[in-house]
Amino acid sequence: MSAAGVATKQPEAVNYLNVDNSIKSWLLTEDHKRIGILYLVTISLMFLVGGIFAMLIRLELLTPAGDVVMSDTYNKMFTMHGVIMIFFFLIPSIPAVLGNFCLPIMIGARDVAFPRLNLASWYVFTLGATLGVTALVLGGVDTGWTFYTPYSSSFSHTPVIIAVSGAFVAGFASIFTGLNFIVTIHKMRAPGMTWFRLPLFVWAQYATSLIMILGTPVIAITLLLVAVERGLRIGVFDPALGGDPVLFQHLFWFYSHPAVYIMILPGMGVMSELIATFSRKRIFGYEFVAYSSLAIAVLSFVVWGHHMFVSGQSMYLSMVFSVLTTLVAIPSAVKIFNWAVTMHKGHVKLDSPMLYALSFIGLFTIGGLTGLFLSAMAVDIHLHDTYFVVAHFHYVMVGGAIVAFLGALHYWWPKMTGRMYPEPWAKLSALIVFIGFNLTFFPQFILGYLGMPRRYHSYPDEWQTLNVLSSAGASILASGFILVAVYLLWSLRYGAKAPANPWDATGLEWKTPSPPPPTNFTQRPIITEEAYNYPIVLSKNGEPGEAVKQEEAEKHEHA
Amino acid sequence: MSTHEGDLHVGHQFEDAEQQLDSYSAGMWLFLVTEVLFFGGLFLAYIIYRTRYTEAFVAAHHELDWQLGGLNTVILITSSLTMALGVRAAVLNRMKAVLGWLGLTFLCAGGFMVVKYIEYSAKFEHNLFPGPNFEFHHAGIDPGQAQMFFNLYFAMTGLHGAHVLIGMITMIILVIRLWVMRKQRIDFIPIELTGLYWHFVDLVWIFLFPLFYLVGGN
Amino acid sequence: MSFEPAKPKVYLLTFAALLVLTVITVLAAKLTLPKIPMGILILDLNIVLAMAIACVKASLVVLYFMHFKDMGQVSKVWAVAGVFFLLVMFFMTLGDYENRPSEETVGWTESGPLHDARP
Repeated sequence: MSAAGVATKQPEAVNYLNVDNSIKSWLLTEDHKRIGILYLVTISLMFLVGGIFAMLIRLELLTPAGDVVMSDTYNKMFTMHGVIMIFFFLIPSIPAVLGNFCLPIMIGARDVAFPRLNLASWYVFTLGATLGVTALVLGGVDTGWTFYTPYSSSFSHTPVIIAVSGAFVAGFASIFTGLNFIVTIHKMRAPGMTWFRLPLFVWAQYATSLIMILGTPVIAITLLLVAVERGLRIGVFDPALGGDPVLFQHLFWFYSHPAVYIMILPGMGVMSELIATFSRKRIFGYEFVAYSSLAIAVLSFVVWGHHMFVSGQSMYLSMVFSVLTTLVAIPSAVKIFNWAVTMHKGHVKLDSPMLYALSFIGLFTIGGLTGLFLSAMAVDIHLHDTYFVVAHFHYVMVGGAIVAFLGALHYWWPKMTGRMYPEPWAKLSALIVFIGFNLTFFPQFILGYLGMPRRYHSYPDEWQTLNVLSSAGASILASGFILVAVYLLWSLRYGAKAPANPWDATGLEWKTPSPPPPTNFTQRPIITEEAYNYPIVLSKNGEPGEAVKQEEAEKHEHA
Repeated sequence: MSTHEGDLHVGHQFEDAEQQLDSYSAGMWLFLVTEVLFFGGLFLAYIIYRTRYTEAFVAAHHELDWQLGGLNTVILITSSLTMALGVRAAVLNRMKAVLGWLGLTFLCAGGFMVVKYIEYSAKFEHNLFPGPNFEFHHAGIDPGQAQMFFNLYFAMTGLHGAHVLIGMITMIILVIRLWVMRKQRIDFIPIELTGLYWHFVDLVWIFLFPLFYLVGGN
Repeated sequence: MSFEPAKPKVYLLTFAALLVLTVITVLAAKLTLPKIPMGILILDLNIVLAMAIACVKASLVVLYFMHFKDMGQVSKVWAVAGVFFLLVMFFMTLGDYENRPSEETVGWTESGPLHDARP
């Protein structure tokens, strides 16, 4: 990339963190980097709350009898776990934190197109999260995170309206972010930054924004209708009012299936960055990986019915959805294969972000392939609403999205904070999370296959061994997350100063100092090459010393 | 784009006025796309129940006054015209004309809400608001199915009415902003964007009018 | 993209066309068109006609009042994408209702599905 905005070596340089330390400057900031940090703080708190519920669920399931909490309380626990983790952690996680922080820098812009809308997004999100926590304080909601009618609209005796409003309001935060990203990517790219020079993370954010823009309004109106039906008895879902509950499921899953890809697509974008950086190679088949993000986003809108195979939906439509669902495997596999090929004969360095990336590939592959089982109608009838489904989507959402989020956080942490974290601890955390995760959720595949239904607080004795393994794994997983939080917070004060480019990576964000100055670059960058211009290896023995920059190799050809 | 830029303010994140204008315009259109899908959920519900409870919908729609609905259609179309002319005046930097057209648009919007109020209060009087007091007597028609018609009527026209109100508030803000910045060249971007929003509100009503007032096919 | 405004005549013609189409849609509702049963739904051709007219009106609003020709490429592509995904939602959901067994024949008996299970 160009020499513009190269790091200056002055230790006291003005950056976005030290430019103004007052609380007001943070709360009224229009700087995308600071808004990313604000989001990071908020979603970390929500992750803590959701994580506590996960641990309580695993505590209850340690023994076959329902002895820790009543079944009603258990219903509230898994509901609040789901609502908080999905609406208030996973959906904003990578886009709102790392997308906000990195995307404008990656395309060479000073900020997103609409900075005030960006700040509004954080406030709206915080309001939504506050409503979610309020519902929790008022006793918790017991509908399941899906808010299925008519239970949610007519029968539940819990603060459903508040929880639903929380998700509704947080939806607008998501729309604001998506809208901002799309306009930013289209209109704010630096001179020379063509579409095929963009980092693949940006492509993934674009595809994610597509879902945010086209899907979120539908869930918004659906949740609004649930709240109105509950509050005013004007409704279109309750059979007592002449409505059809299956219509709710159609509308709900029209958003909520694509929402799964809001969680995983940014993670895939992160993967492309990590794999390229730590294999020191251009991503194999860049165009295919870029287009596969868009393909996943588009396909995600035509598969929602696979959540409804046992809902009374027409079986002919179920067949259509079943076939369409298997198609999603194609672009997903394109990505996995291309990452694998990228690593092939690359100089793979096992730094901690790369460890997270490698565990993503393994876990997401398992999550994705078990998704294929569930997309087959006949298999789904057997596995529907069992722990197999729970294990499947945790492999995608925790093994995929959260592991990618942690990988991204480790990768960009030096850029965001200007500090290095202790690498040995980071490697250990990646290992603990990987082991803990598999121990938690792999037994659940077996439990589900044996027929253990989800959402019950007791189970027959013969399933205890597997459940104890799962609960033990959850403790290991939680200690892994706590370890990450501890050393990252420690590094803020005691970590070594981070250089501008600690990973020797390409990409615009590594050409600017860590942390970046308030306007990202000292002067507007002019882009003359693609994002992954890594040295290509010319010799067969693969010694890095003989590597030559791609560009230089081309120059030699011309000379 | 050269003649109208004048001394327009350009945000720090933009390189020039053209990039700013392009971005705002694209942003507004994206917002309208989200609005399409927001209303889309309700339209889908309408399609399902309209085609499922055909006879009840035909019977129930006779309780609505198509002449009032038609009047509101004409009012909104007129307001779209005045808004378009207002935007035109803003681009041409004609302050008085902008204020005049925006004022007319605002009056039309107010008129729409007044007609809406008359209609709603008539429905409440006749116990046609869904809920425990709902009463609908018509030979061979399930009152529950008729209630679904009014469910959708109040949900969709109510949501549309809320958009009209938001449009009216936006127009008030626009006029105040114009007054505060009256010494400068008119910043037409907010007016153009409000215009797009207002035409969208009109567009939604174009669909709502036949769906509720002209069910037809007795 | 620019906002060079159209001549007032264009707006007035659009306005007049919209009024005429409003009258046409009122008159069209007086017709009694056939009703076609589809699964548990009944498609009334009146609604199809009314929606066709509404689509024409909406197109006029988008084309002239909202200056479709002056829109940027991004806006155009996204506007089309929005309508496309809306139709995907409509038609795939309708696909469920059209193909569900009608309510009179709901049930599953010894001789197989789709037989009247009610007494």
